[in-house]
Amino acid sequence: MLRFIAKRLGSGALLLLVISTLTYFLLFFSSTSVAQNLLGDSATAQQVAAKTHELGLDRPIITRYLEWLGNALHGDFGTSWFTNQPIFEALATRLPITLTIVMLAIGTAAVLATVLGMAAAVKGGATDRLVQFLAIAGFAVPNFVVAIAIVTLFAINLALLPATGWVPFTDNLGNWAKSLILPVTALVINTVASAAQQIRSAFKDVLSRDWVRTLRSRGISNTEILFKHVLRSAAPAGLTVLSLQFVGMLGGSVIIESIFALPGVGQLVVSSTTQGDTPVVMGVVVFTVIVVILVNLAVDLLNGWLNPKVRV
Amino acid sequence: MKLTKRVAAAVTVLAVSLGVLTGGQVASAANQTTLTIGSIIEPKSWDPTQADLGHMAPLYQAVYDNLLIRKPDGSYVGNLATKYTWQNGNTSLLLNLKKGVKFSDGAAFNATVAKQNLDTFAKGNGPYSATLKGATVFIIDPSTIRIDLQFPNPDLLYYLATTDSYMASPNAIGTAGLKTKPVGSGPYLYDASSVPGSQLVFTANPNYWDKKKIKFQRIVFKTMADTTARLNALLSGQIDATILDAKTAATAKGRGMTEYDNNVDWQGLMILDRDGAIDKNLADVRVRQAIGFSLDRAALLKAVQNGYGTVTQQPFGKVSGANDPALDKTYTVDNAKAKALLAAAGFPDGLAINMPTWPDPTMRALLSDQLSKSGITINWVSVPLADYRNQLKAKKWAIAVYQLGLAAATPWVTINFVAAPNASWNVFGTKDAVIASALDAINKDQSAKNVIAQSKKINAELVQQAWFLPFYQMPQMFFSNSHVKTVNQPANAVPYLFNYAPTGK
Repeated sequence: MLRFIAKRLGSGALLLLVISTLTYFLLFFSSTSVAQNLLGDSATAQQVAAKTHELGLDRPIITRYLEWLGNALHGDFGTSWFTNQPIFEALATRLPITLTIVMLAIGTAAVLATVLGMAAAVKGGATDRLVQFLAIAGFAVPNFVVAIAIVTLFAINLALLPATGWVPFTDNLGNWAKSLILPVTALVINTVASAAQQIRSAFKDVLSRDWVRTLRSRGISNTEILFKHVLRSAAPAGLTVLSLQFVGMLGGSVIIESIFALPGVGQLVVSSTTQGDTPVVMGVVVFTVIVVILVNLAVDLLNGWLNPKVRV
Repeated sequence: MKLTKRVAAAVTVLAVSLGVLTGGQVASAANQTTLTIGSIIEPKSWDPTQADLGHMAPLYQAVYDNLLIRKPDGSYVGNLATKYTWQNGNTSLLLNLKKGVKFSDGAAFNATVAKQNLDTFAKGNGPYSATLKGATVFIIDPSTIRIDLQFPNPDLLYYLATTDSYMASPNAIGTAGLKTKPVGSGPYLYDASSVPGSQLVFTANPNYWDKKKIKFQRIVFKTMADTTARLNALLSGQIDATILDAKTAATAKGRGMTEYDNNVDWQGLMILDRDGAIDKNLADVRVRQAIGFSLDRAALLKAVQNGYGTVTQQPFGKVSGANDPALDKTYTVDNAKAKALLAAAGFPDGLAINMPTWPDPTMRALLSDQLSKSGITINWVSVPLADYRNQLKAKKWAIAVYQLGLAAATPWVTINFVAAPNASWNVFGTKDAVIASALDAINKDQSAKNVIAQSKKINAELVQQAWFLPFYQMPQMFFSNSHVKTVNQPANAVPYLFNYAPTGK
């Protein structure tokens, strides 16, 4: 097991190096004039040239990349060119917000999708058709439309929940929970829709196996077969879907963060990429890749625990 | 328990939990002691050398004092400078400074500190550092300074009331810490509960020298880049005031919010390459004028702006004093005349022009249609929006749609944006004899009367030479709820902080 983990972490480190290097050079080739963006409409060409020099952007790209890599390996990701905020500080306040929303959404989606998928596979008939209809409907409606609809209803018309913003857990537990309900709901609906379909298919597949029939013939109760045996066998398919959706959600949360004015990583990525704020983009990329590597590792370990054949 | 009963129980638990969590209605953030503003952006740096206008002005005003204040009617009054006196034909400005003012770190404000701030600003390479270029600050006595100008600067008062004179503590000037934490003498103090990127909080400065300026005990700027988020926050009472746009204005008005329309920008065509460096065809003024005669500005205003705004044909705004209503009749829609001008210029069969893709598809479709009626074909070339401005500045385009904040700018600001040989939007450095003569005249006599007279000549020349073909002045649409009121600030996208007051409701 330890060898497996070490191997996965090693390949993860290599992946991190490749992605960060590619990102740095892609930013260079596609990047806009950072100095012009900093100085705005009123700046003259001389001012732009002076600012470019001040930021060290007139040096060769290789020099700049090696300097960034050297600093990053020492844990120094620099400061934002646009806000002067240290990258660690910016991520320390923003990453937990995005991760909280995404993890709550994935957790909620996992429970709901499992319940709906199981119900559809086991009950069949009208229940199956209803779940399939809900899944298609949920998948067809983009999450930003859901977001706008629930804000209008619950925040503006009914005034039950805040329309925007984030309250830190440490400030007020109740307000923290309130600030999460609408954005998590907006993310969950889409995710449940597709995950429920996958889980339903996995359950149907497992339920049709001979060993399930054998268990039934031995007089074991349906509940025991379902929760002790079938769920365990069908779980890897669901876990894989949810892990992929977790990665997708990290990117997809940009729109939800924007609509709910949540100060998460998504908004930071959009603004820093648009402006060409390389230190911020690189910091976000590195930490997001680390999160994705760790999540995939956790899913692999969980799959291995659920199904010993996977460990081979 | 059957499934239906279990579902009903779960729904009940969820509803009760929601009720407990919400405690009924969400309390409004608005009250008479807190002002919460939805802001599009935050300052890039709290170092005053990097100060900017527009959306950032009220944020700097919370923590920094300017030497002067520009009132909503455009007049200037003293602030840290109690009195200003022009000398030597408006080439020297004498400023008498207020005594006894302390910064938030306890340091004293005096002439030495004022000079240190102004000198640092001029050297700081911020967005507006060039506006103090060539200015020398002399200390006359501990509470008097004199600014001598090497180059004409009829707008010195304007800049001293905005970007150029936010006074920082002498202990903080030049330090790295000033970039992220302001140290000024302003009416409010930067609160430690601020979270950059989310909300910036300011509390009333208990030792502030002018209590009249403190109308709220607490100011909160919530950073919300998305217009829908700002609208939702305003409607749900999370913020008291914010800027919206033509698409969201009707909803806010329908919900009883107070609207403050302020013409700050104009949108139109910028014909940048008047010497034919990258598109020889545009070097002929008749071609540029033909484009002008092809534009149906009223149709553009109606389709793109839902009718919000005023059609215009001149770069100088109405409040500049150099605006001439007669110039707005220069290019009435006349496709026959446009075709005749093109034929005279050697293009009887019309011509094609390349333009970077403006993001609004309605604008693109209308412009293509309107110009095609005169035989002009627009080839829209895809450009990343983030790089749009930079490509224009890098001389990659001869002509483009753009939006400039000049609808309410002073004559000198407008000249330095669009007309002077080194103006920020004269990217190809086009020279013109009429403009050069007017600038020379301003150099010799910087009185307001002469500046306006010369600006009128420049404005007329810009329109006749079709350097710019504005479509309309477009309002910045600011809204407040019933708890606060405010007043528009000329030449600024959002009201200044001093313009807000509680309504008592």
